Amino acid sequence: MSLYLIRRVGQSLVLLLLVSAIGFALIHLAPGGPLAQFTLTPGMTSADLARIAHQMGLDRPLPIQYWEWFRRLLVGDWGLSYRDNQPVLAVIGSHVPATLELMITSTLVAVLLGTWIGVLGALRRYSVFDYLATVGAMVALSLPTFWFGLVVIYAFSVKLAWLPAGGLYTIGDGSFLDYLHHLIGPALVLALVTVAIWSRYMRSSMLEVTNQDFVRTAIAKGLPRRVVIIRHALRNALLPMITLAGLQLPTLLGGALVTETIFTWPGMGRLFLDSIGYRDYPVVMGLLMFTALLVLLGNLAADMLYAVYDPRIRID
Amino acid sequence: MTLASASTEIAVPRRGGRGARRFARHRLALVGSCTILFLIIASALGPYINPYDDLHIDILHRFQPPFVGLHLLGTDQLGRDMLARLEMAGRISLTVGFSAMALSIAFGTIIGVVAGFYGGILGAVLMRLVDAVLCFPSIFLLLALAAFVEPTLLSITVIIAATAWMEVARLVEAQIRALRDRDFAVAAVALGASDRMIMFRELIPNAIAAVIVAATLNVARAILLESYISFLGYGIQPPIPSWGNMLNNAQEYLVSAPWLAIIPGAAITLAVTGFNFLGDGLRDALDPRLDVR
Amino acid sequence: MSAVLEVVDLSVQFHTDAGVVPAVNGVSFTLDRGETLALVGESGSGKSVTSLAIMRLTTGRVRGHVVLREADAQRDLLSLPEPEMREIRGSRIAMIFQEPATSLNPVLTLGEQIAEPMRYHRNMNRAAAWREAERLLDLVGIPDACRRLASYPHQLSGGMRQRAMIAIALACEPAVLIADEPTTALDVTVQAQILELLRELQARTGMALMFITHNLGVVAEIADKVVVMYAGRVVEQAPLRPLFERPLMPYTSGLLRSVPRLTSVREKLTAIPGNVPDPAHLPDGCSFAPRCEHAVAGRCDATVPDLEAADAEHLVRCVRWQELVAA
Repeated sequence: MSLYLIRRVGQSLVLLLLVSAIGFALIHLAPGGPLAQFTLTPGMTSADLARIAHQMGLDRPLPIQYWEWFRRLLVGDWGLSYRDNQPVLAVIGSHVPATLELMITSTLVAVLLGTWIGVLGALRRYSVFDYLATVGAMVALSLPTFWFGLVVIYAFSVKLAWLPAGGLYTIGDGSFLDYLHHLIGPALVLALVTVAIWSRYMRSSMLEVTNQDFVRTAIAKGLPRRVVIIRHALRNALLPMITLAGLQLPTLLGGALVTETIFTWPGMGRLFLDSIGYRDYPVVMGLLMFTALLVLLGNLAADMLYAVYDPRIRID
Repeated sequence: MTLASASTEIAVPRRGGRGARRFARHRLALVGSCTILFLIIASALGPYINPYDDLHIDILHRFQPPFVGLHLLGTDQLGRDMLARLEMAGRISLTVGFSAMALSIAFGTIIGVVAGFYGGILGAVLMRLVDAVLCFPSIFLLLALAAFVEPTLLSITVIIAATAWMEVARLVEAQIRALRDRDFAVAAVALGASDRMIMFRELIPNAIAAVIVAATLNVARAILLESYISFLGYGIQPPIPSWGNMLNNAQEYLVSAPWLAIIPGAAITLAVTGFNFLGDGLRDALDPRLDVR
Repeated sequence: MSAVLEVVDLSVQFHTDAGVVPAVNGVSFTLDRGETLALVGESGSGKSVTSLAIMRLTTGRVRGHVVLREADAQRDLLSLPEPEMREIRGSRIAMIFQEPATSLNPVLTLGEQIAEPMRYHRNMNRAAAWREAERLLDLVGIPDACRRLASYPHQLSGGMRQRAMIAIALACEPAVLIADEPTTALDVTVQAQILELLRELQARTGMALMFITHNLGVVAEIADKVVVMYAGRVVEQAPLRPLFERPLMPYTSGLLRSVPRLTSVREKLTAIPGNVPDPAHLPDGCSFAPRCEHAVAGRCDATVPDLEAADAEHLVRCVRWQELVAA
């Protein structure tokens, strides 16, 4: 297992370098480049700009600039926000919990529901349930998440008044229950895509596993049906799903952005959009890097989990 | 069906099972193609048939709900006919979708072929680069790029393509690599030249089939992405209509005139679903592995 | 010797897009207590499907009777409700399969997989089942049994995995063990070890063994009685020596002739010409006739021959057997 992990960590480091290089390239692509905030200040002469450029080290060769930037990245100096001059990392950090809570809740619901639908679809292949589940999943994947969110708000907040229309809390009520009440809408909307993808992959994974010899052995042992399905089939079918979970992270983050926008949920996605609106490039770039890093780490974590969970990798 | 039968399907397929699945997939793909065809025709020819013009502002008849009165799909906050707007927006959204797909397929294929054909360090570096770009969530990347550029039709198409080429590159690289490996293996076993041609004839169609499937699904994704960024205000800018930016306007009238939001969204869903159904059906039809099962 | 398993007129049909395929057609035989019966045939003869049908593990439509006789009762397995059948599987009748590499669950330890049938059929708690599992591993000849309990299938060699499968099968002391080509996927030396093990275990426990194979060499080593199958039907049945010394059905003699012998170096390998017929399109009359050197038009291809008794224990399905013996 250690060999596997070392190899994976090595790959992740390489990816980290490449991701940072792409990020660096993007910064310099931004209109006005790193000097953008200064060019807008009235009374700024080109001499002043040149002086600032020199101070910021922008006249040095690009590789050196990259190295400096990367070094600062590692120690946590991600620059200052244009809006309020706060450290970018701190600004991001204050918005992370809301997004994480949203992502974790919706993933939990989605995985449970998706697994159930997928397993049932596999066991009752070609049945009405299976057909509906397959078609339903494909339609769910085709729905624009933001539109679905609007529909949910219209149906459940405007018409039925069961759910709040957005935000984290109701003014005046900061209780945990109120928070949960606000969490339901966005979590369910975000869960939609994950349920669709998860159920489809779960179904095919389950089908593959139930056709394997060891499931036949389990049945030949006369074990109860439930034991065969869960202990033998499902436990093996879940293995590739761990990797899938890691691969779904970018989609999940993107979905979170859209969901947060519709439900005015104060997470990273919201921050990203707002920062773009304000042309707050340090925060925008910071978030881009941050999400990429999350994806990188998430995939690494998924692979590590896989290594632990699969005895064929865990043991020599 | 018991679990026993699920696990002991040794050689013989169950009665009607394979046939049922083929037909079902076939039917979905058919539905998908018809939907796409319908949308394309409606967008292209609709404006010529429709008595109303999408630009015609009619304050007296604004906020007309659909199916009551003269406007089939109602009117918006400026009294413009929703159906006409939908058709014109359809032209834009579908065109952007197809064009972005074409660009991303072209670029992805080039990268994939280069990486797969030359292999070695170049191939490895290119593929790691692809992996690195894939670490950035598409929407984040797309929005950031959208903020950097002037939002014209061309620029929007280009940046959507910029976030969609990676999967194509991976696909093509894997196919070319397999072809290359097989080729060496074949040479090593010293088969006749005719057999190598047969292998070529097998593998290139395989690669093309995979790209066709990817292309179809790519259009679906491109339409979805365009609608996202247009909805958020960074995509197609009014007065050019797109299904996405129609939804942007509709948000503030969600309570009073919900059809302004529901209708464009339904159109997007229809288009994307159609392409997804079609892509899925093509995948089933063209994937040789599934035939063996 | 009383019969422990009686198969009567067993038929298995698969309904496919191509029509109804009769994989097994009117197969009957008896397995006595402590006896080893070899079910012999080429691929496509229906021998595996027969064994799966006995365990009710097949998707096809099964007809006939499979009677399990035990001290207290006799039951027709094919008419039992599923929960009762589940009780019998793994405890009264056990089965081991051809590919030990894929027949074991890769994410569960050996101990867990051996303990499973004991915990569900014999209601043993985890500790007791674990101890018993260790004893079983020992019994099947796996060294260092105590540590092996915690290992995973991928850590074992092919022969060891098959031994583990045997341990699983024996966990509840079954009356009948069905072995579907258990040694086909193993090396020859390991093969011999496994056969030896099975013989030993059978002598010790008195269980009946139904051994499915296409390898006549293995049959000679292990069988008391042989049932030869072709295209879904029993074509010859006899105790071991009479079958090998005096095969009555041309197919059987063909099979025996095609086994290469070290003694006759100069002889060509004589294979039976042609191929096994497609079960969906069986020829009229005797299924073997198209490949049989003794086939006579008008007699062999008219109707399916009946299974006749050459003597008390020797059955043969051939219209010409008496003539061929005389010749």
